[in-house]
Amino acid sequence: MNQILFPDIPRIHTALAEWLACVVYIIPLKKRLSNRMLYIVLAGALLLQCIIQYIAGFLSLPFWIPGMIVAVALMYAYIYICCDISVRDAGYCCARAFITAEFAAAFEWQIYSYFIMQSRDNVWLSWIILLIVCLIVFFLIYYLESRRMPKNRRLGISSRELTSAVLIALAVFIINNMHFAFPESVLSSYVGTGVFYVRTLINFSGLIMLFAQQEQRREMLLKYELESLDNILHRQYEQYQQSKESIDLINHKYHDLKHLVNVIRAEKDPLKKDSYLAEMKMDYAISLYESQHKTGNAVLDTVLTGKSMICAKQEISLTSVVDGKLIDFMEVMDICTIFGNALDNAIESAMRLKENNKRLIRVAVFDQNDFIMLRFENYYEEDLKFEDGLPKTTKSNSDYHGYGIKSIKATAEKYGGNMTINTSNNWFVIRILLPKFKNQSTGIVN
Amino acid sequence: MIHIAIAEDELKVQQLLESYIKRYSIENNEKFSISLFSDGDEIVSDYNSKYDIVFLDIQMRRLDGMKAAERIREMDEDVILIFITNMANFAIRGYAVNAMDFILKPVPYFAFSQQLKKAIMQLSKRVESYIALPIENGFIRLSSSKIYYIESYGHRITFHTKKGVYSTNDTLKNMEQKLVNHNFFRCNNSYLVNLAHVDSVRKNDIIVAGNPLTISRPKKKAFMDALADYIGGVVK
Repeated sequence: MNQILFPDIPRIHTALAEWLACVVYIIPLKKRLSNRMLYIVLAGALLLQCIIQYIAGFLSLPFWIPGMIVAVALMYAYIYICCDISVRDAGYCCARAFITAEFAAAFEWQIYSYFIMQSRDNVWLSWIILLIVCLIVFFLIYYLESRRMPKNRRLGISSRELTSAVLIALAVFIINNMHFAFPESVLSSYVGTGVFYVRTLINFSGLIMLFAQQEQRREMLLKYELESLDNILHRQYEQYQQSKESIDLINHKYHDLKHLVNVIRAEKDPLKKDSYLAEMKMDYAISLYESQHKTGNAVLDTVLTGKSMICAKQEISLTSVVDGKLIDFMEVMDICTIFGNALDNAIESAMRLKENNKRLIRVAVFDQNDFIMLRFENYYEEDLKFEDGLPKTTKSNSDYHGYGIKSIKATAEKYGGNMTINTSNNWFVIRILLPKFKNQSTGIVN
Repeated sequence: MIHIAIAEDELKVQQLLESYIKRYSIENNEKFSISLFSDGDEIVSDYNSKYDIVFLDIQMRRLDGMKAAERIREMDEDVILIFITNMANFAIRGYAVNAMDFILKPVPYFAFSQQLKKAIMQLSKRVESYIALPIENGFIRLSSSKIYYIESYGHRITFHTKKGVYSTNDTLKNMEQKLVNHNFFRCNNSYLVNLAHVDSVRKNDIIVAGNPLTISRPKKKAFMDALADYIGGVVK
């Protein structure tokens, strides 16, 4: 048996590091519990963690592994209980927290063992070092993680991502403990504090691997979101082109009819006149569709007319007071994005109302000083949940849903503007504030 | 008491709207006075600026709703105008006369009551509050809407108003509390700005009644959101 000159990391230190690591991950996540309950659960968890590690310390090697499993399971349990996240999200956080804890404990013990080389074993010194190291390590981890964690939102970890995080953690843990489980193995170190140094390094590289994984995941998500936004943009633009074509066609027909009316007027034979007129009546409804919206902006006219046809079909009353000239500076695509998505959103919500007379949508575009206000309002009665200040989708699975509002926001920001969403008296209100001139950026940063 | 005028040439619709207002009055415990006109020229010739809300039918025989609205706007900038129209008349340029909205015929009670509710809320936001400031010989009474912005410097705060500049010993925090619900917002630690007087926003400052004031970066997003809610909620 290999003689280790220095005592191994005290169990209590490991327990404390594990607990702190979990807390660091719990803080930025959306909570399931009230503050009071949270404190109670965390306090209980700390106690349990210490007890488990304490008992595990007495057990012989075959029981040491189950002991560790129980400790990790406990970490998993209170991360999941405290935070409103999925089973997989909690597993992912747990793997990260575990390696963070291992790193902090190993690093702390390495520093401590360096000090006791010069002086005698000292419990107080070990605690002080533990405190300082933990403070630095966890503060750094918190700083790095909290900025990357989505606030008030689930992480949406896939099983693949979970598996790789767990595998990384497992590999790090196994290599880490080779020295103790198989002291004679190739990977073991015989040189005293070297053991701790190797441990710190292994844990550190594990930490780096997990961070690299997280970065890659973030990048993928961003890319996916950009693609979805792009899809939305093109969808509204295509719709615009479709309605433009059909409206053009209708207008064309309308003018033909007008011409026909003149012919009929000139017709002397009353019988012929009557038959012409009877024919006309059938097509009369067409006049309804002759660009009803005359806002002063041709693109907006088309979008509004297209959407108002849908509204007419769904018995939604859509009213608008819109000065289209104000948004002449905007690109066609952007007008389609904002108005198309905002109206689609309102129409969808209105259609969920069972009483047709409550299906009301209002649109307003006006200016005030150097600002332009675009406002979309719709009456609603359902329960709305908000996430990150944006309404959570009421549909369970739709790739596009939710991106509609995000794309409106992105478009507003492109013009140096901003968007707010409010609900009051059963009205859902989207307000978009734009500076009057396109080239005058207000440079809003999120 | 809220004064409402209705200009509508169809007697049936006129009576219907009147009955809706009465129903709303009972349901919401709100008092109204109702003046009825059967054509656009009637309301215009005898226009009384005591009206808070005017409902105008778009199609009337002698003077249509749009023209009547233009004439009313010349005499009264503040009255809330709501048009009544049928589907086919979507092309009406409501924005040109600063109309609040349209109601589509046939008018259902629900849509009407929602529109009325909105108009009443708009009216309630116009209520002013007053601040009395000590000056050399006595006090001056400032209405909140006339204040451009309030500046704090040490223990003194300075009011920049339509009437001039006044200073007193007080804190911005106090003022913020006094003027809550009057759409004042901080753009940095030393300015409390009346959102109604924000002319424009640039990268690092905002123009309030012609004066550039620095806006702090961390406050900018909240400030812009408050401005959007103000313009899109109070102005119209």
